[in-house]
Amino acid sequence: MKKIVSFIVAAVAALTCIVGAAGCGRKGLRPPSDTIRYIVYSGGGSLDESDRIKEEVNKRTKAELGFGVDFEYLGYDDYTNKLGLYFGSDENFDMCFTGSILSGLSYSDRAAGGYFMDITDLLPEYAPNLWASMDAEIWEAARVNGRIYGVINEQIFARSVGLCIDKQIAAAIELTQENIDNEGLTYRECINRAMEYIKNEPSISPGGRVPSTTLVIGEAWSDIFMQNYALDSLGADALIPGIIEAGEDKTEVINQYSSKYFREFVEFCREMHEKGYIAKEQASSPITANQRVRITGTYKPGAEAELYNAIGREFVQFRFGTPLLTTYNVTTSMTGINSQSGNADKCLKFMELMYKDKSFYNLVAIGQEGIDYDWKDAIDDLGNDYRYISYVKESKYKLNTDWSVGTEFNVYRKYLQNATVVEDTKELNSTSKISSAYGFTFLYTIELSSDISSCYRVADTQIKLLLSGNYDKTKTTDKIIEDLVAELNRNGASRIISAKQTQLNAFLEK
Amino acid sequence: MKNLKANSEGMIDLKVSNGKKSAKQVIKDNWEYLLMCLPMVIKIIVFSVVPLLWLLMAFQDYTGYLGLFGSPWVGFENFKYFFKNGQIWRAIGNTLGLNLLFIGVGTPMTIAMALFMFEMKSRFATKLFQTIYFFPYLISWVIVQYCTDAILADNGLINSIIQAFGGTPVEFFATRSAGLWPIILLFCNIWKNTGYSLIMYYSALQSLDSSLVEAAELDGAGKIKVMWHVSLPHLKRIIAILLIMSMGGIFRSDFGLFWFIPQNDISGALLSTTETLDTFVYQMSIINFNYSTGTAISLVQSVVGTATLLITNYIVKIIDRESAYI
Amino acid sequence: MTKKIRRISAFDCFNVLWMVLFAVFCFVPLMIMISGSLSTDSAIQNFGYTLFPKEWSLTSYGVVFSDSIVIFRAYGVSILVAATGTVLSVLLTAMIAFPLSRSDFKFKNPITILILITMLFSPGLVPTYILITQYLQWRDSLLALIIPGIGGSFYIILMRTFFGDIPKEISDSAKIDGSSNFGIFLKIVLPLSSPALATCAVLFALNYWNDWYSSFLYIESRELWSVQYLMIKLANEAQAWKMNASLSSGTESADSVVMATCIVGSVPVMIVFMFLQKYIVKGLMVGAVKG
Repeated sequence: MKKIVSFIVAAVAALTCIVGAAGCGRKGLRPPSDTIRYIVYSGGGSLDESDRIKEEVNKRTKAELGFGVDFEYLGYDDYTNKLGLYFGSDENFDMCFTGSILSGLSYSDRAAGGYFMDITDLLPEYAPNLWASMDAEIWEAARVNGRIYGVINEQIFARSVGLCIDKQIAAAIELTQENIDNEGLTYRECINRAMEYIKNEPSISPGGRVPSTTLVIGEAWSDIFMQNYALDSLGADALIPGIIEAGEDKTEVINQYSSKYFREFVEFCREMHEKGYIAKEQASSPITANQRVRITGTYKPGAEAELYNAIGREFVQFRFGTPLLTTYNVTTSMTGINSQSGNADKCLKFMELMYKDKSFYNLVAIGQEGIDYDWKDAIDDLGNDYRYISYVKESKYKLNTDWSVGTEFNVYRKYLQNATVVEDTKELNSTSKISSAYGFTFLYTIELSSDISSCYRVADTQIKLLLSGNYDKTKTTDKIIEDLVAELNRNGASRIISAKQTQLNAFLEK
Repeated sequence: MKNLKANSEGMIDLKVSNGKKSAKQVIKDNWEYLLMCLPMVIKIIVFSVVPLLWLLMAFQDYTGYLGLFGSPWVGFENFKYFFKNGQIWRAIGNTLGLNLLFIGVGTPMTIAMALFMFEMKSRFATKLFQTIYFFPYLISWVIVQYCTDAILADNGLINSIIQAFGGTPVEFFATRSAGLWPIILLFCNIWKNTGYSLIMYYSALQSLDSSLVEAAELDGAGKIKVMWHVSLPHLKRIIAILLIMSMGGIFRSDFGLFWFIPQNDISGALLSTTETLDTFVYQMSIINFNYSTGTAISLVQSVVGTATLLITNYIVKIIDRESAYI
Repeated sequence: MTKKIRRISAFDCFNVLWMVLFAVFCFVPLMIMISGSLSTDSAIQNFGYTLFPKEWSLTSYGVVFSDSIVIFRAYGVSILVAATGTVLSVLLTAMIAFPLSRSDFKFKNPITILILITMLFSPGLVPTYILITQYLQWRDSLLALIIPGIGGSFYIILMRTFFGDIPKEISDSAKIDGSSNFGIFLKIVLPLSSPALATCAVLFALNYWNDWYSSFLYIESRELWSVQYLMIKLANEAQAWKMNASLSSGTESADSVVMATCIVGSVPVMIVFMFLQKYIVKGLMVGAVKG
């Protein structure tokens, strides 16, 4: 009997090894095919009728470019998990959305790992207009180890803090951008003023109780933090220790958590909770009907229009901090080509068409006229007529991430957007200060990866505590910071910082 | 002397043999059994055994397009990734402690419930209750967290009751309440999983020979005595099996329960008592999505689980030879 | 012989009381969910989740059932997958558990070890995904939902235990009568353990029903989505409405819809199974007696 068993075990082992050897990885790129597969980052809206759009798109690409496109939509919840699986299992796809904002699966991480194709030479050849649309300087940010692995999707790059306040309230507290600039008001002071007004206004806060999500800290808190003080996270997630004060042209890497900037943030959180302005759900940053004050890390011409489109309330946007161009900000939205794909040229041609042809871009990003959006007329601030697109409520194609499929500047004009919103943004991008570390990306090494994850975990937990109001209220601000820094150091923060400094110095010397 | 050993029929096998049967003979005897096993064995080998080769990923810096034999080898780096962080021991401690708590409290309770339910007259009532007890199993923790929030929030159900009696409300989600959470999680676990285990014990009870029960009752034993001396021993084997298998999973945890219910996705206030190895691994992977490290920690969980399972099996064997399963 | 008079004893009262209490314990969160699915979002935002809706509204169910074709097709898919999977699971698991419960099966140990290994060591997502999509080419096929989920080590051990509870004398006497091993299996073991088989069938079916993850990994075409996956997608969309009101198509309530999706995904199943259990048992017994 033992013989039988050992025979079977040997057979299974042999079978396993054969299978394993077969899965040894391909030699060379995949052969080209007639259809390119594009993984699209979708914003959670209904995509029941994506087939309809796909048909239209294919009609155009087959006629003009000679190949078809197969879209696969992944919602932002699933994106990292599924794309990570695709990378890990050598799935056959051609291009996908990527960027610095995808934690764990960021553009620089994947590029350094060899998952994206080196398109430094292919770009000018197959997508010349796209290549020329942005300065060579901007493209620097997409370089990893000197080569370019992804196409930057143009949008607002130079970010500063944007504070949107309900138009009527802003008027009531007499807040204008001029006041802010002249008096040097901080976002904290402005929010305090607005929230105090709100709290005492019985029509908004019955019984002095501010309704939940009236004040929302939108997007990642770290964006606000970094943008407000012109700090550069050196291409990595801002929660990881190690930043430079780019606003002051410094190149010394410091621990942001022991800086005065973080102290200010802690005090801000405490203040908001103690005064009852903020409730527990802040960490999820929704756009709700209650919203009247919203602070984000992106001052974006046209943000008021988006909010109006979303909840029907008019807002005024104020800007804080110095707009800064950093590697992280420029690479938030990119499109990458799978390094194993045999269709790189086709992908680039597709991206070129998306850039050159506005109607094609909007077909993919918004949908079809009459079904997914309608043109409407309005009069802008200057008294001129203009047409804007208005989303059809019943539409079953709502991508909601028009910034992820190419240059956002190609999107048709939306309600309340200025006539010059594109030019304004481009102007902002090109005239903003450039960080001294621009073009540099900190690359994780295998020895540091544990420290990085541990520090991220510590910092993330502490930030969540502060935002949700569950921090230990008996501790002083100093104590909170002290404990946090001590714990970070226990988890290798100083090692990370010195590694960042070493890499940065090497980069700067070139 | 092997050939004179009593076989399963209780009769002495008088087949004269030279000690060991040949391979052919063995197969011939058992061919029916083998045929019956075949489909499942094939399925297991294809879907569960062959992929085990990829456990080697734990020792590599696995890169998708390079495949299993093309990725660079890094030895134990992936294991160091987790163990470098001192917090892992807290997570491990919590995992073990909470699992033992769940098994220690949940198992006797479920067995008792099964025994009591068996005494109920109305089959309809039994089925009805079993079905209701099963509902929680179907609902994912992501949804349950809305309910637990409604109950435990500062202005939730429990605090309303406390305030009605004049007490001070308890901030369940603040750090200082962390000590309460093992109990709260115990309740949640019992709520969700009792129905599932109950069905299994109850099913085992149905093969209980009712004549044994009648005999005991005729002897004058009360209900409780009957349960303790007749029904419970009948469940010995299944209790042992389920216990052994739970111990095999001692290092794993129900991710949803420990991540969503204490609201660790929003606030880190309760991590000290609610963080388990699985949530720890999840947090360590957010900024560093890496199958190699995931495989490494899974391997650790499997190896430790195997050890505990074998130990538990051995202990059970000592107590009652029949019930163990190896 | 004196007739036993069945009195209601204190024991019975206590028993029922305890059962009811636990039922309430299990049911209360369900009630909260049902109430949430039937209330308006403004009620939820202002009053939180309560046992009874403060403001009634059926819009959430309207949203869930808005595309009735899709839902009915999803139910069809789920039922097909669950039914096929359950039948195959029960069959294959019983077929492997039976030999394992027999003392004259010489290969018990190696196979038990095989099962244990698969229970304790899981290969992870990547190799399974590669196996199913690249080697078996089962992407977008229901096979990927059914076959990998057949049985499970836990259930093999469980069934083996149930089979072992059958007294040896019965199968011994059958053997003396000349029955083959197959015969013992079909005529004795299966019928006698039908409650156990029914129990396992219910557990298998529920696991298949609940499994949305396989759909997430392998299914692309809308026609092949299972109910749970559809509900999860809908719940995610509802969450997205919270983030951005322009994504919703009207006055739907996000939180309420999330609750409604859960109810639709789980309640019909449970009610069906409560009644089906009886028939599963009957069916097995009938089949066995005939055979």
